[in-house]
Amino acid sequence: MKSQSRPGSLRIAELGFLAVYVVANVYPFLWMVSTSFKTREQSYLDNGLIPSPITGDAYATVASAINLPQAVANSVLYSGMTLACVLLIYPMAGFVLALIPFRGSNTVFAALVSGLLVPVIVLLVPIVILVQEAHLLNTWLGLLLPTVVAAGPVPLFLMRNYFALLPRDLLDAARIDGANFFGAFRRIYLPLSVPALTTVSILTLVYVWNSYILPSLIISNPDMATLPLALFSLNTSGHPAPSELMAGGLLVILPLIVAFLFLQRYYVAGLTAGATKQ
Amino acid sequence: MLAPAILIFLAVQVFPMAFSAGLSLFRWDGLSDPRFIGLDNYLGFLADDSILRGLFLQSLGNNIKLAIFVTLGVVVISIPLAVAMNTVGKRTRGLVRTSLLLPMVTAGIAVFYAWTALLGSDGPVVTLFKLLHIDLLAPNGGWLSDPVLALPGLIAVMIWSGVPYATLLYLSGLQSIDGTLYEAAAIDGAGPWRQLVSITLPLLNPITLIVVVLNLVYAMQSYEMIYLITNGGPSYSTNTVGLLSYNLAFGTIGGGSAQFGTAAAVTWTVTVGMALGYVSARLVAHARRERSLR
Amino acid sequence: MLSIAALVIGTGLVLAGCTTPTGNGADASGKLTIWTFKKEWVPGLEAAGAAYSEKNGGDVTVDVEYFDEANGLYSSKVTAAARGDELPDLLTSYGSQWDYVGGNLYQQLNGKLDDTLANFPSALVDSFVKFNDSTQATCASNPDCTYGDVKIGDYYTLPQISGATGYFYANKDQLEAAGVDPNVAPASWEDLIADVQKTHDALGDAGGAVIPLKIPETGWLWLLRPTLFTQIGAQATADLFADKTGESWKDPAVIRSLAIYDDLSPYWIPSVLQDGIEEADQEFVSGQATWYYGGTFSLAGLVQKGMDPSKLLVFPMPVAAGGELSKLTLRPWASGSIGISKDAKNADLALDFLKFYMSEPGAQAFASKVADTPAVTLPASDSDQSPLTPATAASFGDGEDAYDEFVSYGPTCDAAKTLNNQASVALTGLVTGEQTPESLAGVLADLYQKSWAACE
Repeated sequence: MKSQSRPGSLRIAELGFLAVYVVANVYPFLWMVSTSFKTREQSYLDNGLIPSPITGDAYATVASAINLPQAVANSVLYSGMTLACVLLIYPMAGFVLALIPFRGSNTVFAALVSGLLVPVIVLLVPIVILVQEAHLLNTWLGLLLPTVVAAGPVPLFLMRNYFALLPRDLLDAARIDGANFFGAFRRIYLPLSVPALTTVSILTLVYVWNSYILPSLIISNPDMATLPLALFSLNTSGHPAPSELMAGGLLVILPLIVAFLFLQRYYVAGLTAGATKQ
Repeated sequence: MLAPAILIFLAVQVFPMAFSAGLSLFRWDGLSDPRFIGLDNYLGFLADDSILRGLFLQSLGNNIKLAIFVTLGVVVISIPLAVAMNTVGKRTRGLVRTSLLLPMVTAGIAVFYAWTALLGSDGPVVTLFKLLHIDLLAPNGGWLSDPVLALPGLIAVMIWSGVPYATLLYLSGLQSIDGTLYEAAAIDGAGPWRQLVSITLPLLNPITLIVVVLNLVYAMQSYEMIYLITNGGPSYSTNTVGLLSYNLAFGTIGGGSAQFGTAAAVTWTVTVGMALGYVSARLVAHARRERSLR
Repeated sequence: MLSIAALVIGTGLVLAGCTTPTGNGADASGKLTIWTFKKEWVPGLEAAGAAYSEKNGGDVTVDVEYFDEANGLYSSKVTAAARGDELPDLLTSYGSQWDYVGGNLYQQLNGKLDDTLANFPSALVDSFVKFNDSTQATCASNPDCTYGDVKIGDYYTLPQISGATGYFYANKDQLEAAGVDPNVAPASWEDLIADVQKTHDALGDAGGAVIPLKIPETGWLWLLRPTLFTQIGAQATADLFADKTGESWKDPAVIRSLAIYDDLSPYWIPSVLQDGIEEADQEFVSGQATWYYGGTFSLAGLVQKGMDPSKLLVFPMPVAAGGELSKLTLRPWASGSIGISKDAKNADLALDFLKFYMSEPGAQAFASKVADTPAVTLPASDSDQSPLTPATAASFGDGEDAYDEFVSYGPTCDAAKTLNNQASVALTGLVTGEQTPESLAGVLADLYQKSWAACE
């Protein structure tokens, strides 16, 4: 109904804007893809968009330098566990902080998101010391805990704000029906928050999937190397050309893109659920 | 229900934060025993006679420019983008949404290479401005080697990587706006522009708040991308406080041993400053709301 | 969604429990671990390790772990491991080994490797391996220095590489293409500039020069300081940096040195301010620059990136007319100090490995994989293929007039920690055109005056 009443000129302006944006957005990515198919020599010399000849050498080099299946499996495990923890912990916390008033709730919120304000760089050394003292170096748990905390503030922030936008009456109604807070959260609010949960999932996955510094400090066992860590071994086994760096970079994010195309279905479904909530 | 978040926070976050805050009162090279020196680390870059002071202020200035322009750019681009995406057909929207993924998933060294090539001396940006004969925007060494254009170049990169998140947030906000509001407005004779200004934008305010906060934080503490792309140069034109603490903590060539204490002090000064800024903004907003209620 | 989450976490925790922690050090006897921050050395260390293993009938394995110093990874790793007693058997020091000694990271080697010391040039042993008067004096002048208790003559590490900074590399093919004789090094700075101008005229940007100015210290430490040294002489250089008023920076001879540095400004390749060491290497190897400035240590990276060493003309920085010194003499220094860590689980084995690695067969195994000059003295026949040989033969030396990159000029206290960086960045102002030699002299005078004041 919205688009029917719009004049044609506005529509053209909209489409034009979208087209310009998409081009600006995709160009660097196209450049990466094209560079990854260049020869070593061309990737050094020519910054243009056309590889000539087109070659898969860079991918072959990367694939032979790292144990790709294992690195993907490790990355999936690491990201999956972190995402699960984030989804388990922070929507619940956001719900409480948004909808259940209690003394000091603002202070608790501020403390929990304070990590946002402190750059990781000054926390690295103490985090590693902490993990080391707990004898958790080179364990998934030792990697998971600091990652969840580092990834946590943004999800908490988003979930709290999202829940604050949802009507409170639903909570009161559920309480009258005899549900406890957790019941109301699980049966009513959680289903309504699918769009926010999807956004949180995307943000968290991107963060964890690409995260390099923290894992490289905690994990030194090559069998546990995630994709970015494994890719780094390219660096030690020679001097990667831009073509190889781009091929490696694309291999790292390919699984993520596939996962997102899959997640989009939820995303769209969630949006419809949100629209019919009234 | 709040317990898991609090527990994991207490277990993992409190110690590193306290450690680093405490460190700002010590001299520590990371190797020998830390030595308590009170506020010397803070005086080291805040005092009048310090050579660090100018660098700190310049870096802070760059941070503030980054924060303002990146946040502004992200908001100004992503709102129309989300609105346009919301009104076009399903297939176009799917296409745009997929393209949004790309900057979000690309990270680290790949971004560095791609943008160095794009903004470089033979990249499309410089070529375009050369064709248009705007020599000012077509420096011989590319944008990132130019003391005037390096910061704008960096801002462009950060906007590029920040817009997709913001657009997704706005899009989810737009979808949650009740359609009947528009129907009612259309019956009252409001055109699309009027609907946008008086219904859509006000309802997006809470999301703008999130976008602004996240981008401010991102711009204030980003150092990794800057480290990779310009390393603060040329002539400190892209140096930031994060990069300064990094250099203090891990040292540069010929710069002597590491100073984790000063690095922590620099960081905490900015962090506390931002927290105070946030609290005072909250207080002002609160006071204004009280007044308008009365 | 919750139940899925719980399931994934459950599985994760089980997996986490199954993964037994493995320490960084060597737990099993017969296994040694080395940490290094320099990727070019990894294949060499691995080759030395393999040769050692072979010598011992395969009972010993040597693992080389490399951590990039970008993002502070190597330093963080060492800091955390030192506190948790998790250092590897053999540790390479990033920066001065004496900082690591001051942090008690190394075991003292006095008396344990005295025979091995004979494998190094004695000047190197006196100035880099053993704690000496001048190192002690530098430490004593800095209240924050942590290794004041070390005794003269003590040693904790051995050097892996010896060499110096101060060399131009030129691509012979490109010299020839521009009509410059590819086999004769320019005799003076003026000749060099004339040649660079020729290649630049003939080849455009690709005829220019490159130095990794994204790390601005390279311009300052590698190129300007030796220029000053040859222009105003050893004593005046020391006096210049020691002048607490900073006024000496405005001296005409100093401004002349800045102007000499500025001679190259038109000829740097356009991306020079954006090039780190990796990128500068790549530009040169791929023919996008004809001239490259660095040190003996640069060759390994260039060769590993595909440069044919026989295509290289290497020569020490030539000296401009009218200066105090007629040529640049470089005192070789040692880099990559390696020692046995305090946490070594296998200290005896580590000691035995060091003996092997720092003798002819070990050093040769290293040199076979890395185009660099091991600190161990090797028979001449092994290094005469290197394009570095004529350049180092013409420039290595000792004595008053030899330039020593490791002398720390200027204030060294913590308050002056960013001084080098700020001076280096100011110097890039010549390249961007923001500074002239005269205005730069004023900036430097101010920086040095303030730094000395802050250190008082």
